[in-house]
Amino acid sequence: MTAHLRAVDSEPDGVEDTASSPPLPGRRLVLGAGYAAGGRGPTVTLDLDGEQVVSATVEIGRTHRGVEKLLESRPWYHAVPYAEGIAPESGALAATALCHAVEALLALELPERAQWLRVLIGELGRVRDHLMRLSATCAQLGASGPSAWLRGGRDRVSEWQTALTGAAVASHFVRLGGVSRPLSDGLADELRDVVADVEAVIDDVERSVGRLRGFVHRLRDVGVLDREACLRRGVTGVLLRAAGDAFDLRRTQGYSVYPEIDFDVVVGTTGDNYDRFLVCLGEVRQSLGIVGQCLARLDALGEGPVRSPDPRIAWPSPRVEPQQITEVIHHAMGVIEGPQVPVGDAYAAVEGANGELGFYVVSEGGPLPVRIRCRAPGFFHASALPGMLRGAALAEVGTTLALANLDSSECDR
Amino acid sequence: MSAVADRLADMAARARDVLAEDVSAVELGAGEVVIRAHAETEDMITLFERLRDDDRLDLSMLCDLTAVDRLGARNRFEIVYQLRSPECGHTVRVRLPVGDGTGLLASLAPVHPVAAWLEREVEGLFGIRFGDLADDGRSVLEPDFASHPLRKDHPGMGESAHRERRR
Repeated sequence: MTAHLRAVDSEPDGVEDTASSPPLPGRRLVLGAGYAAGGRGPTVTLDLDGEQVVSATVEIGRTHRGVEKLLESRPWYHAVPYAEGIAPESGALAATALCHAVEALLALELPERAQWLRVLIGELGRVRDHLMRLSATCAQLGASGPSAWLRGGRDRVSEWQTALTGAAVASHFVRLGGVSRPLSDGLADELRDVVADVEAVIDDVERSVGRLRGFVHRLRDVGVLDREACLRRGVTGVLLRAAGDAFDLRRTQGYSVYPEIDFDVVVGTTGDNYDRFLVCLGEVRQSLGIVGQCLARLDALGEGPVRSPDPRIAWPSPRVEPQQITEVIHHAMGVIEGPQVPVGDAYAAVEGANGELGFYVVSEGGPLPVRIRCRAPGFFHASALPGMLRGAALAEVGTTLALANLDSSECDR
Repeated sequence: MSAVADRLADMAARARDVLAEDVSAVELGAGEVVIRAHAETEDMITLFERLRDDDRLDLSMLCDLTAVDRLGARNRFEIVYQLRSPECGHTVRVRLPVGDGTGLLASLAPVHPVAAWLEREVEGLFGIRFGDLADDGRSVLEPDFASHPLRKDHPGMGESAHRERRR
């Protein structure tokens, strides 16, 4: 199955209109999926009039893996690490959303430590994702120093995550019923250092880019997507908040332990690239603050379980030898098939790094899901991207792509 | 009862009042409200307009639209709409059985413009067609891709590997 979805420039009423913007021979520029500013972005084809973009076409699916089909052909617990691949920098957020949906069907109660650890690893994912976007934006605008500092901050967070989970990407830290392991004292102290270092990077970047001639000018009034256009296209996350809407599922829905956490929802005013840049910077600060609160709460909670002891999802302990044949069978089936999820359906969403990241799951009671649907924010942003690029100067395209909060892997089907 | 449960119960009661006989059932699911529409519901546009325009429900966001294939069931396909109230953040799911998926469904784009984008995806992946699509030729798949991959009768892997596995 090869995904090949094209988003074309659209009229405001949402009706696609390709006939009015025919390709201009000799003035077509294709920015491939590996284009530096896009990072993990899609292929964008621009039709130009001189240096100005007349229309744009977005093709997604270049990192296609048929993920929904894959998720539906594996046991429930296999789906979680696959789901992490949807958002490489913030895979823990995708895994958390999927686990929330399955746990709703299982009616599982999670240990409090597990919930705080999920929030901690998820916010670090958001920090990594935003730092990468900010770094790509700075690189586009010739701010090579800030770009390198931001990239270095992202690497610091990745190294810490690798020390905790064994992998920077696809770490499988978030699992059904909780997380894979607790936080050791040494790692907690190290994380406090990482948080302080990244905060210092953000301070430096804020001071530096304001002094760079033209930095703000090249972001202001570029790639504008106002609030109404966002809502019309299903656009959420940084793009919607930059347009002045305080919609943030962490606050609006208040899932997990977020109602107990003190943080601000950062909003912009006009929905241009400069607002997006500032919202990203502000959200990194807020996320680092949330990480600090998680560490304090985990300290206060002390040692204890980080996974639900529910026998439907608990893995057999290697230290406990089964006493009866039924226990042996239960252990074997627990490993081979995983949990038998009750009949029903559920939708659960989290505030992903790019926007509302949700999973709709359907079970008919067996070990395999009937349907796992990923509501990926980038898929919606792809439909809005041509409108953001229309009328832009060629030199502005890179920053718009960097700040479009669109990962090809999210749009995967 | 918690504030969330109170709010969900209130939304479910209001949805029953607003939709009355037009739906089969309004249920409280795990942290959300589920509306089961009739298989023969014809005026889906009006139904979604009433959900969107009611002040107490405030379901003005269509956050997702997808399909479910229950191969072998009487109503094989079901279209699932996820609506959200931007104010309180709660979701309401509307489930619409569409039989074998051969009919032409009304597009929800007049009520929620984002629906057009999602309907194109469902059309490609499930082969369920929606009316009023601006360009039927464009979908999630390559133009020459004949099958609909998320149907349960589409193999999950290559044809040869699939045959090998069944052997």
